Amino acid sequence: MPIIVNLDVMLARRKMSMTELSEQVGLTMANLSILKNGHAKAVRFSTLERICEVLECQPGDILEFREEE
Amino acid sequence: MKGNGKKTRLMYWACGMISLACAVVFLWLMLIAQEMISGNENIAQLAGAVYLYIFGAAVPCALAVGMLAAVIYEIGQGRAFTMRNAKWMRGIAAMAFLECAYIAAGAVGWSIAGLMHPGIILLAMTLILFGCGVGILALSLAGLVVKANDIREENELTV
Repeated sequence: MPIIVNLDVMLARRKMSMTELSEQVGLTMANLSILKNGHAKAVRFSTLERICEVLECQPGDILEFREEE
Repeated sequence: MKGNGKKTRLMYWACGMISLACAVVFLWLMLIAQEMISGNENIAQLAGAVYLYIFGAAVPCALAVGMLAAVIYEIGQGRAFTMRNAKWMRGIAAMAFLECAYIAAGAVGWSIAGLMHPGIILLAMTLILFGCGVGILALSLAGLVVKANDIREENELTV
Protein backbone atom coordinates (compact mmCIF):
# COMPACT_ATOMS: atom_id res chain seq x y z
CA MET A 1 0.00 0.00 0.00
CA PRO A 2 1.44 3.44 -0.93
CA ILE A 3 0.55 5.10 2.42
CA ILE A 4 2.96 4.00 5.16
CA VAL A 5 2.11 4.55 8.83
CA ASN A 6 5.25 5.30 10.85
CA LEU A 7 3.82 4.84 14.31
CA ASP A 8 6.88 2.91 15.53
CA VAL A 9 9.18 5.87 14.84
CA MET A 10 7.02 8.34 16.75
CA LEU A 11 6.45 5.90 19.62
CA ALA A 12 10.22 5.45 19.95
CA ARG A 13 10.78 9.23 19.95
CA ARG A 14 8.17 9.79 22.63
CA LYS A 15 9.29 6.68 24.52
CA MET A 16 5.79 5.33 24.58
CA SER A 17 4.49 1.78 24.17
CA MET A 18 1.65 0.66 21.91
CA THR A 19 -0.41 -0.21 25.00
CA GLU A 20 -0.01 3.28 26.43
CA LEU A 21 -0.90 4.83 23.09
CA SER A 22 -4.01 2.67 22.74
CA GLU A 23 -5.18 3.65 26.24
CA GLN A 24 -4.62 7.36 25.68
CA VAL A 25 -6.06 7.47 22.16
CA GLY A 26 -9.00 5.20 23.02
CA LEU A 27 -8.34 2.62 20.33
CA THR A 28 -8.15 -1.12 20.88
CA MET A 29 -4.80 -2.87 20.44
CA ALA A 30 -6.31 -4.75 17.51
CA ASN A 31 -7.20 -1.53 15.67
CA LEU A 32 -3.83 -0.01 16.48
CA SER A 33 -2.10 -3.10 15.07
CA ILE A 34 -4.22 -2.86 11.92
CA LEU A 35 -3.06 0.75 11.56
CA LYS A 36 0.58 0.03 12.35
CA ASN A 37 0.85 -2.96 10.01
CA GLY A 38 -0.62 -1.12 7.04
CA HIS A 39 -3.82 -3.18 6.87
CA ALA A 40 -6.13 -0.24 7.49
CA LYS A 41 -8.22 0.86 4.52
CA ALA A 42 -9.15 4.23 6.01
CA VAL A 43 -8.40 6.42 9.01
CA ARG A 44 -10.91 8.79 10.53
CA PHE A 45 -9.80 12.37 11.05
CA SER A 46 -10.91 12.08 14.68
CA THR A 47 -8.54 9.13 15.19
CA LEU A 48 -5.66 10.94 13.46
CA GLU A 49 -6.36 14.01 15.60
CA ARG A 50 -6.19 11.98 18.84
CA ILE A 51 -2.97 10.22 17.78
CA CYS A 52 -1.29 13.52 16.87
CA GLU A 53 -2.47 15.03 20.16
CA VAL A 54 -1.03 12.18 22.22
CA LEU A 55 2.23 11.89 20.26
CA GLU A 56 2.55 15.69 19.93
CA CYS A 57 3.26 15.53 16.22
CA GLN A 58 1.89 16.41 12.80
CA PRO A 59 -0.03 13.97 10.54
CA GLY A 60 2.92 14.08 8.14
CA ASP A 61 5.16 12.69 10.88
CA ILE A 62 3.02 9.55 11.02
CA LEU A 63 1.83 9.20 7.43
CA GLU A 64 4.18 8.81 4.49
CA PHE A 65 3.46 8.32 0.81
CA ARG A 66 5.78 5.89 -0.92
CA GLU A 67 5.15 5.19 -4.58
CA GLU A 68 4.81 1.49 -5.48
CA GLU A 69 7.59 0.22 -7.77
CA MET B 1 -26.93 -14.26 24.73
CA LYS B 2 -30.73 -14.46 25.08
CA GLY B 3 -31.11 -12.63 21.79
CA ASN B 4 -28.71 -15.03 20.08
CA GLY B 5 -30.66 -18.06 21.39
CA LYS B 6 -33.90 -16.63 20.04
CA LYS B 7 -32.26 -15.89 16.69
CA THR B 8 -30.89 -19.44 16.50
CA ARG B 9 -34.31 -20.91 17.29
CA LEU B 10 -35.96 -18.70 14.62
CA MET B 11 -33.28 -19.78 12.19
CA TYR B 12 -33.96 -23.47 12.82
CA TRP B 13 -37.69 -22.83 12.51
CA ALA B 14 -37.17 -21.11 9.15
CA CYS B 15 -35.05 -24.02 7.86
CA GLY B 16 -37.61 -26.50 9.13
CA MET B 17 -40.54 -24.70 7.52
CA ILE B 18 -38.78 -24.40 4.17
CA SER B 19 -37.84 -28.09 4.22
CA LEU B 20 -41.40 -29.02 5.17
CA ALA B 21 -42.83 -26.87 2.35
CA CYS B 22 -40.52 -28.57 -0.17
CA ALA B 23 -41.47 -32.01 1.15
CA VAL B 24 -45.19 -31.15 0.83
CA VAL B 25 -44.73 -29.95 -2.77
CA PHE B 26 -42.78 -33.11 -3.57
CA LEU B 27 -45.51 -35.35 -2.10
CA TRP B 28 -48.16 -33.36 -3.98
CA LEU B 29 -46.30 -33.95 -7.25
CA MET B 30 -46.07 -37.65 -6.44
CA LEU B 31 -49.85 -37.74 -5.83
CA ILE B 32 -50.47 -36.01 -9.16
CA ALA B 33 -48.20 -38.55 -10.84
CA GLN B 34 -50.08 -41.42 -9.17
CA GLU B 35 -53.39 -40.01 -10.38
CA MET B 36 -52.04 -39.61 -13.91
CA ILE B 37 -50.71 -43.15 -13.88
CA SER B 38 -53.97 -44.64 -12.63
CA GLY B 39 -56.06 -42.60 -15.10
CA ASN B 40 -54.08 -43.18 -18.29
CA GLU B 41 -52.97 -46.55 -19.63
CA ASN B 42 -50.16 -45.12 -21.74
CA ILE B 43 -48.69 -43.28 -18.78
CA ALA B 44 -49.19 -46.34 -16.54
CA GLN B 45 -46.79 -48.26 -18.78
CA LEU B 46 -44.15 -45.64 -18.08
CA ALA B 47 -44.86 -45.34 -14.33
CA GLY B 48 -41.21 -45.94 -13.47
CA ALA B 49 -40.06 -43.15 -15.80
CA VAL B 50 -42.64 -40.73 -14.35
CA TYR B 51 -41.51 -41.41 -10.77
CA LEU B 52 -37.87 -41.18 -11.81
CA TYR B 53 -38.55 -37.82 -13.49
CA ILE B 54 -40.18 -36.44 -10.35
CA PHE B 55 -37.37 -37.73 -8.13
CA GLY B 56 -34.90 -36.13 -10.54
CA ALA B 57 -36.72 -32.82 -10.19
CA ALA B 58 -36.37 -33.07 -6.41
CA VAL B 59 -32.52 -33.18 -6.55
CA PRO B 60 -31.81 -29.53 -7.52
CA CYS B 61 -34.59 -28.44 -5.19
CA ALA B 62 -33.06 -30.36 -2.27
CA LEU B 63 -29.62 -28.91 -3.03
CA ALA B 64 -31.07 -25.40 -3.17
CA VAL B 65 -32.82 -25.91 0.18
CA GLY B 66 -29.55 -27.15 1.66
CA MET B 67 -27.76 -24.03 0.44
CA LEU B 68 -30.56 -21.85 1.77
CA ALA B 69 -30.22 -23.55 5.15
CA ALA B 70 -26.47 -22.78 5.07
CA VAL B 71 -27.21 -19.11 4.30
CA ILE B 72 -29.78 -18.90 7.10
CA TYR B 73 -27.28 -20.50 9.50
CA GLU B 74 -24.60 -17.94 8.57
CA ILE B 75 -27.08 -15.09 9.05
CA GLY B 76 -28.04 -16.54 12.43
CA GLN B 77 -24.35 -16.54 13.42
CA GLY B 78 -24.11 -12.83 12.55
CA ARG B 79 -22.22 -13.38 9.31
CA ALA B 80 -24.85 -12.11 6.87
CA PHE B 81 -22.66 -10.21 4.42
CA THR B 82 -19.90 -12.61 3.44
CA MET B 83 -18.55 -13.92 0.14
CA ARG B 84 -19.53 -17.41 1.29
CA ASN B 85 -23.20 -16.35 1.46
CA ALA B 86 -22.94 -14.76 -1.97
CA LYS B 87 -21.52 -18.03 -3.30
CA TRP B 88 -24.37 -20.02 -1.74
CA MET B 89 -26.93 -17.65 -3.26
CA ARG B 90 -25.33 -18.00 -6.69
CA GLY B 91 -25.59 -21.75 -6.16
CA ILE B 92 -29.31 -21.43 -5.33
CA ALA B 93 -29.81 -19.42 -8.53
CA ALA B 94 -27.97 -22.08 -10.53
CA MET B 95 -30.14 -24.83 -9.02
CA ALA B 96 -33.30 -22.83 -9.79
CA PHE B 97 -32.32 -22.37 -13.44
CA LEU B 98 -31.27 -26.01 -13.66
CA GLU B 99 -34.67 -27.02 -12.31
CA CYS B 100 -36.39 -24.80 -14.93
CA ALA B 101 -34.36 -26.40 -17.70
CA TYR B 102 -35.12 -29.89 -16.33
CA ILE B 103 -38.88 -29.23 -16.17
CA ALA B 104 -38.88 -27.66 -19.65
CA ALA B 105 -36.93 -30.60 -21.08
CA GLY B 106 -39.32 -33.01 -19.37
CA ALA B 107 -42.37 -31.16 -20.68
CA VAL B 108 -41.01 -31.25 -24.24
CA GLY B 109 -40.09 -34.93 -23.88
CA TRP B 110 -43.46 -35.98 -22.51
CA SER B 111 -45.22 -33.90 -25.23
CA ILE B 112 -43.23 -35.62 -27.97
CA ALA B 113 -44.13 -39.00 -26.43
CA GLY B 114 -47.79 -37.92 -26.59
CA LEU B 115 -48.26 -38.32 -22.85
CA MET B 116 -48.86 -34.69 -21.95
CA HIS B 117 -51.94 -33.41 -20.16
CA PRO B 118 -53.00 -29.72 -20.48
CA GLY B 119 -53.04 -29.42 -16.68
CA ILE B 120 -49.46 -30.71 -16.52
CA ILE B 121 -48.37 -28.22 -19.19
CA LEU B 122 -49.85 -25.40 -17.07
CA LEU B 123 -48.17 -26.78 -13.94
CA ALA B 124 -44.85 -27.03 -15.77
CA MET B 125 -45.13 -23.44 -17.04
CA THR B 126 -45.97 -22.22 -13.54
CA LEU B 127 -43.01 -24.07 -12.04
CA ILE B 128 -40.69 -22.72 -14.74
CA LEU B 129 -41.85 -19.14 -14.12
CA PHE B 130 -41.51 -19.61 -10.37
CA GLY B 131 -38.06 -21.14 -10.79
CA CYS B 132 -36.90 -18.27 -13.00
CA GLY B 133 -38.20 -15.79 -10.44
CA VAL B 134 -36.33 -17.55 -7.63
CA GLY B 135 -33.16 -17.70 -9.74
CA ILE B 136 -33.25 -14.01 -10.64
CA LEU B 137 -33.99 -13.05 -7.02
CA ALA B 138 -31.14 -15.20 -5.71
CA LEU B 139 -28.69 -13.75 -8.28
CA SER B 140 -29.71 -10.19 -7.40
CA LEU B 141 -29.31 -10.91 -3.69
CA ALA B 142 -25.89 -12.45 -4.34
CA GLY B 143 -24.79 -9.26 -6.09
CA LEU B 144 -26.06 -7.12 -3.22
CA VAL B 145 -24.35 -9.34 -0.64
CA VAL B 146 -21.03 -8.95 -2.50
CA LYS B 147 -21.36 -5.15 -2.36
CA ALA B 148 -22.38 -5.29 1.31
CA ASN B 149 -19.36 -7.51 2.02
CA ASP B 150 -17.04 -4.93 0.44
CA ILE B 151 -18.60 -2.16 2.54
CA ARG B 152 -18.39 -4.28 5.71
CA GLU B 153 -14.71 -5.12 5.10
CA GLU B 154 -13.88 -1.48 4.49
CA ASN B 155 -15.78 -0.52 7.64
CA GLU B 156 -13.98 -3.14 9.73
CA LEU B 157 -10.61 -1.90 8.48
CA THR B 158 -11.43 1.75 9.13
CA VAL B 159 -9.62 2.91 12.24
